Amino acid sequence: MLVTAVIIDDEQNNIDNLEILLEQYCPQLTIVATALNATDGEAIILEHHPDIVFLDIQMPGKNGFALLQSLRTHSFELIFVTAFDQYGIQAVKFSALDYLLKPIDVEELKTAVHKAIYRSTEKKQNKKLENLLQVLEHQQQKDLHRIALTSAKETRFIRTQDIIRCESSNNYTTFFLFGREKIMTSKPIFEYEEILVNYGFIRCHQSHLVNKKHIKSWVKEDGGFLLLDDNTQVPISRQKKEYVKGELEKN
Amino acid sequence: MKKIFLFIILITAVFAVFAQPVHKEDRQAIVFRFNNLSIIISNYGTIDPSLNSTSRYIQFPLPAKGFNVYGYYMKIAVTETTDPFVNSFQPARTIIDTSSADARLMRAEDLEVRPSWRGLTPIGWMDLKKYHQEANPGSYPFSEDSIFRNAVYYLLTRGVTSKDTAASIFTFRNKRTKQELFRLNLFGVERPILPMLGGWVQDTSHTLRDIGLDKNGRKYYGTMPSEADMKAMERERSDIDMKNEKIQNTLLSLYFHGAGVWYNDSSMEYRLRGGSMTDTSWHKTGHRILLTDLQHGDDYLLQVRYIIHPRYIQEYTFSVDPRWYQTAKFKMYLLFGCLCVGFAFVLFNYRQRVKTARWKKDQLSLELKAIRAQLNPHFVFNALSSIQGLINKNDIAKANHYLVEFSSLLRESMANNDKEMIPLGNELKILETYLKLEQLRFHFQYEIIVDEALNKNAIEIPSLLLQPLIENAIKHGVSALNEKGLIMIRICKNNNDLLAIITDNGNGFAESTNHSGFGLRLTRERIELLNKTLKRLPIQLKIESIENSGTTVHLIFKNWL
Repeated sequence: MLVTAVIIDDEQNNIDNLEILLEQYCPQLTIVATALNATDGEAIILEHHPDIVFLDIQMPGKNGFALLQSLRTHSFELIFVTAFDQYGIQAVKFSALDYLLKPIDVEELKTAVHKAIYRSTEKKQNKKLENLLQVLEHQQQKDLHRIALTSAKETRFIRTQDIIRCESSNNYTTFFLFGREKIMTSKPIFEYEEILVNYGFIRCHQSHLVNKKHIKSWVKEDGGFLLLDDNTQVPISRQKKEYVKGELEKN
Repeated sequence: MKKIFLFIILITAVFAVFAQPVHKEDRQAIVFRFNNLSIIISNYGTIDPSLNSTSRYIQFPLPAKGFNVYGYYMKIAVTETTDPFVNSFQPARTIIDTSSADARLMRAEDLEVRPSWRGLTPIGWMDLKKYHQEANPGSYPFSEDSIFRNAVYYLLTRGVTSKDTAASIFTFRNKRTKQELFRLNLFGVERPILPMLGGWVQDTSHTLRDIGLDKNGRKYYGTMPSEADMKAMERERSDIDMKNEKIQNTLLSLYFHGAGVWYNDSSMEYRLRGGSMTDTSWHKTGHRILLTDLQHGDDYLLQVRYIIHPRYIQEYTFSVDPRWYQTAKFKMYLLFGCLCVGFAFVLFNYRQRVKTARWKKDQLSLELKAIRAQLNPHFVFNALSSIQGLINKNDIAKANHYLVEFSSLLRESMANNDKEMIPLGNELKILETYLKLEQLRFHFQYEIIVDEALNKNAIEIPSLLLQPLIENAIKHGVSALNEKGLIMIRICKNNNDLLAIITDNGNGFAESTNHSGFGLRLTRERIELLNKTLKRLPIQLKIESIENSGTTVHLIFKNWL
């Protein structure tokens, strides 16, 4: 089966480099076109309907996100390629999309491509991408944003306000949702902390990330813990007390 | 004619030589001596200066003699004794009748006297009255030690006071023969009569011993202290003359001479001025004045006078030793201490301010650093990515070249990481390296022109301030143009200003759009922070962009040269 891909990057060197790497390590892919800017990129996507799109976020003029927003079809797997972009990567992570950092790590490239090929066989609308676009479109309305939680069997998009807390167990993170539902994902808790801190979550303990909106009270006994809306008690570690206090006073 | 002997007795001998001149003269008497009989004019008067202190022998009747009477009260007494000791006692100022050396004794009963005041003789001739000591205790006219102790006294009940300024004439004559013996012309002269301090004592114990009394409870001096009294007082560490005296404590007892009949508990009055005293009224007192509650460090003036001579005021000044904290020394130390503390405070304040200023500057430089640190990453990773590309393309030579240039940039950047300012030459070198690296990616042309008048090694500019502007020129200006892209960097001077002008021939942008690009915003923030620290050397950033024909960025370093 032929898997097609396009590369959109503002630098020819980078395109060349990625082509060479893909040729060498992912021979099942066929690069059908490349583009040096977003406008051309949009054109080649519409023309070739590739299975996979490698997209640079930062490009002069129209950037990668703007390109995606102007596309009507999202039936492709997306792999972002970026040198350094704090904000962009946050958004990408929020929707659990794949991304590669320059210079490219071959192992990461292989993994990302394999996953993309696996998913592309389904040829359905890319929900993660749609979620990303949703977030980008309503940047200021954070309560509309849905975070992509990928469990073993599916990817769920959950409004952050419906998450009461997260609990870590090694490399897994369990989300406790409103309505007593639980979702277990295979990413460590700190990755979610990075994303969710901007949504009013606080890491009150090594193993706990809590949504401020769902804190009922701070119970001072037994060294202090937070009582949440679902009546669970979450401990506060000693060194985090000041931080938690400060965060709660911000409201 | 009665033969009357003049016999000189100096009553004042006992009291002689005391403190104040006023008193020295006071205690003089004149004695008219008629064999066994003496007529004594005493107390508080001076004798006619024509009478010197040696005895004179004259023949009575004596022509009228004038005397000034100074004292409050002049006594005229007559003694009659056959005591050979008394009669042989011949001190000065005695007028002795030589006419009756061996005559019969003259008796007091034979004498009569006629006082005349202001030309009037209201009483006429009168007998001398015998004085009874027992009947008149306390008004004994002479000292108890007087040699007249056992004599018989006759006293005139009225003498002369200092108020009797017109001559008072006392005429003495023999009652039987009516022969006039002598006539006294007495003139009352008012003169300062001041209380005299006999001694004073201060005591810290609050139990003042009354030094006016001796062991037997007797007064040391009825009128004036004797030499023995003086010594006693010396033993008590008191000092007769306390003018301008410094005393050590707040209790002071002063002793004035009390003498004669008119020295009683309210014969004098005093008042204390100075310190915090506000009471100016006079207080009646006897011979002792006790002052309590004097204040340390205050100066006082004690005024004392006889009630009957209110015009004459004796003054004593004294001050009470200051407490240790009232002394000039202490005040000096205190002043010095205050100055020290003040100085320390100022110093502390100054250092604190310097500290704060430094802290603020540190803060600013931290913020600046933070901004600077953010300049690099995107470029760094892109550069690394480019190198990766060259490696994968097997373009080993180019990869080497790129890697070396990149290392050089990284090295310079790291070396200058903690430096706010670097020499213009170094900055330009970094920029050129940066341009070369970006050139590898986007293939544009660039030119750097530096005014030759500028000393590139001496002039310092904020490190990597131009870099983001050039990055913008590349990214938004020439990156899409490839070989046709041109970036020009001109460094020149305009009067005292240093100018950096970055021009690109890219597409430019409309004035209204895209002024808030990330790199540009950071640069603006950094300039704002720099202007806070540099103050007099403000940096201005001007951007002119014309759509489709490029952008020019002016960076003006005011007063930089």
